Amino acid sequence: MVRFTIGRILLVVPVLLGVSIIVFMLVQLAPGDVTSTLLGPMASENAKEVLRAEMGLDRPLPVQYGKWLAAVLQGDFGTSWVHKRPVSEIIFPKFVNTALLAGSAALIAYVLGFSSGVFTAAKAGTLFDRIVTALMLILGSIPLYWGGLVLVFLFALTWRWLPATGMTKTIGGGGALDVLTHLVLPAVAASLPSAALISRITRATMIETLSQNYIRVARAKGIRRAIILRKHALRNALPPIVTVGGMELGYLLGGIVLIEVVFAWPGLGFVVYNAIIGRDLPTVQGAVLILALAFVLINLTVDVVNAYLDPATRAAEGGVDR
Amino acid sequence: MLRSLLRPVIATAAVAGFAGAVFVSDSARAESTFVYGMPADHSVLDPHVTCGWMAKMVNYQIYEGLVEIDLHSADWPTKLKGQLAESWEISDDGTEYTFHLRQGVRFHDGTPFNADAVKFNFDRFLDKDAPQFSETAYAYMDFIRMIGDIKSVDVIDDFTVKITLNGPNYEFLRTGMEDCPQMYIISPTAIETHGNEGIPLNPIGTGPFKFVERDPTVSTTLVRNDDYWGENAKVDRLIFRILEDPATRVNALLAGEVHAIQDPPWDEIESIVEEGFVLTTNENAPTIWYLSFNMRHPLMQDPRLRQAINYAINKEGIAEQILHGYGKPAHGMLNAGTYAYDPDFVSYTYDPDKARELLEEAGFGDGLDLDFDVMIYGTGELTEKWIQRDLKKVGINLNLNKMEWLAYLDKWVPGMAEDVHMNEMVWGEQTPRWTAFGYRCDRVPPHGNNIGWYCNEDMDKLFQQALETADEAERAELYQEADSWIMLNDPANAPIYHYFNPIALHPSVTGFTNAPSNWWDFSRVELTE
Repeated sequence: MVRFTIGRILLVVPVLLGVSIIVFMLVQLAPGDVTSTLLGPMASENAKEVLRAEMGLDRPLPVQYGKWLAAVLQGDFGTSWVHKRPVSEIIFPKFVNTALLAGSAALIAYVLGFSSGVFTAAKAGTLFDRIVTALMLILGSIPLYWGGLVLVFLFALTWRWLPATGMTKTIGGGGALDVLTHLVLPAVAASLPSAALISRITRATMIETLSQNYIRVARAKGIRRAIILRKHALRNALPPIVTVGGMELGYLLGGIVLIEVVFAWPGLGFVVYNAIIGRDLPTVQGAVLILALAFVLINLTVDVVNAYLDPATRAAEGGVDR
Repeated sequence: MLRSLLRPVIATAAVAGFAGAVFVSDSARAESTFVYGMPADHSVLDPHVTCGWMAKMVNYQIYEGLVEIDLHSADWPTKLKGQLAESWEISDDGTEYTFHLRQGVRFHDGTPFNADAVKFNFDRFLDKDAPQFSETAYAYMDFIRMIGDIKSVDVIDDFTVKITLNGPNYEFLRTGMEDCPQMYIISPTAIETHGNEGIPLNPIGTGPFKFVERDPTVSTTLVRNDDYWGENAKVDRLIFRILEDPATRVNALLAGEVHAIQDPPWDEIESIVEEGFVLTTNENAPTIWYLSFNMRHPLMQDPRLRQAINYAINKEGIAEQILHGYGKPAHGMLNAGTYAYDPDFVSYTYDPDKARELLEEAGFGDGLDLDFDVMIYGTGELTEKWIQRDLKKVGINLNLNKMEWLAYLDKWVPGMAEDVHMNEMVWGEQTPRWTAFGYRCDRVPPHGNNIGWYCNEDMDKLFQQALETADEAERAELYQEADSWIMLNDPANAPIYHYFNPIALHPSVTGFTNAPSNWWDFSRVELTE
């Protein structure tokens, strides 16, 4: 188990190096001239030349990459071209906001998806199963943007229970409760597609597991149904569910920008969107790198958890511990 | 089993219910804070290196220029008023502007405002050897024609500054001092302490509001300047919230989370007003949405083709159907905000038959293909598609080359290349001289925004004559004469519409003036319960 974990962590390094090269190349591949972004489109050629030399853009690419990577490893993502302040100052607080929203959405999705999946599997074929499965399908098929607007219309504008936009009140806001009230609607809206997917995966895996021979044997031995479900079926059904759950968290982190826009949630997605529109490449680089890192770490956690749950994975990929 | 699995669900539901019950609505405002919902993030708070209207909106509250447009009045035409200059004189030959500065004014950091501060700011882009010289400021000021106008800036005494121009120029105040980028005066101490790159995070001026903080892509917070030399602002704090999505902007207004929103979606304005919110517009906002023709393209040489395009576009339809009446057809390049705008001037009204006739005459009876550069700016290109459809009806097949905004700007600024017949832009300046920059032979890129390469020496003489005419009414006539001649005989553009700048206000807001401008004054805004 320890060897497996260390091996997995070591594998992360080349993945991140690859990501860093791609992220670095964004600047090279992006259309248009970097200096015209910085100096404005009406800058003189001479001024652009001076700036290129100042920024080291006239040096060979590997040299530029080395310098950039060395700085990034020290937490220096450069200065935002648009906001003229360190990129790290902009993206880290925003990443925390996004992680809070995505994490809450994932949590809701896990609870909702997992419980509905287990119940419907246990009652497979009944009316209850059909209603819940259909309901999850409908909820999961609602476009995020529209779903968010409907929630705002009902809970913020019609019943006035919850705020419509932002993460805290603009006037006199702050505090955990204030954030929590602002968190509910966007988190619920963002969770629905993930909840539907997890529900479907859980139901399918559970049904498959419940049809295995060892379950039939357990049933034949007269073990109570609830114990079979919990002790025998659930644990064996977990690995694919954990995998999907991890992937969904990763997707939520990167793909929650629509919800951030609808609710004006001050997250990283919104920053990346604006940075791309404004061609603020250091910010795009920093944000993509931090999201990639989060994605890789989530996958690492999923692998380790699955290895813990299923010795076969360990045996296949890293040797069995003795 | 069931119970143990249900527990987290119940817990989550309980938390949500609790939160809902405890949430207090936003109506209780202890401190008076005005929150303005902006449709886009603003650029840097350094007034010499930005041109965007959103940045101007924030900068206008923080900084002041020597002379400004009076934004406390919604009337058109707009009036100039002294701001940091109490008065000014123009020499008889129109080349020397002497400003008598306001005394006892201090920047937000305590630095006294005087003639040296003015000179220091001008040297930021005029004097390449000055330590505060900024290459970016130079680039912006050069494009906006400021640098070509000015010969020297001299300090006469502590509170007198003389600006000498290269030639007679009676539009200098509106071109140089009250335009884009505005010649606002920044605290010299701030520039010395924080450097040119540090100004966006340390914007220090003399205006009625002081900068507190900026949360990029979220909000910018200002606080009242209690030591302001003039009438103090009414509200304690002014917060600009960035709400890019139109539906979100409306939701924030309806939920009482902002007090005003700019550019509510046109088809929702009616229902917002029915909810009790107040709509303000200005039919003389200085905006113009227009097409430019590539005069260097052999195909575009024939004026009849350009006249036909003007006849073929149903501008009234665009104003009614797309803008829902929050804009009006444009007939010339003088926007509705300049004093030289003539509301009665009509160049082309919708007449597809006339357009077909002209095309036939010009030898395009079998139809033709044209390439049209289009910017993607979040409006769904409705107007462009409308134009495409109108031109199709007269036999012109329009290819829309859509580009993201910055890529578009990179292609627009250097002037139209061989591969394109026409492009588009939205602009709007207070000075009618802006039309000269779009028409004059010596204002082709890189010396200005004559990006369609129009050139007519007779018209250039008229524009020069206008610039050298001291009387404003006479000047207006000259600008009108040039614009109407070009529009009717040799159109270099197809002006489409002037926009009314709709802003929806919470009923508690008083004292807001929707002046003929693209940014507004918030110092007189008050909140009543």
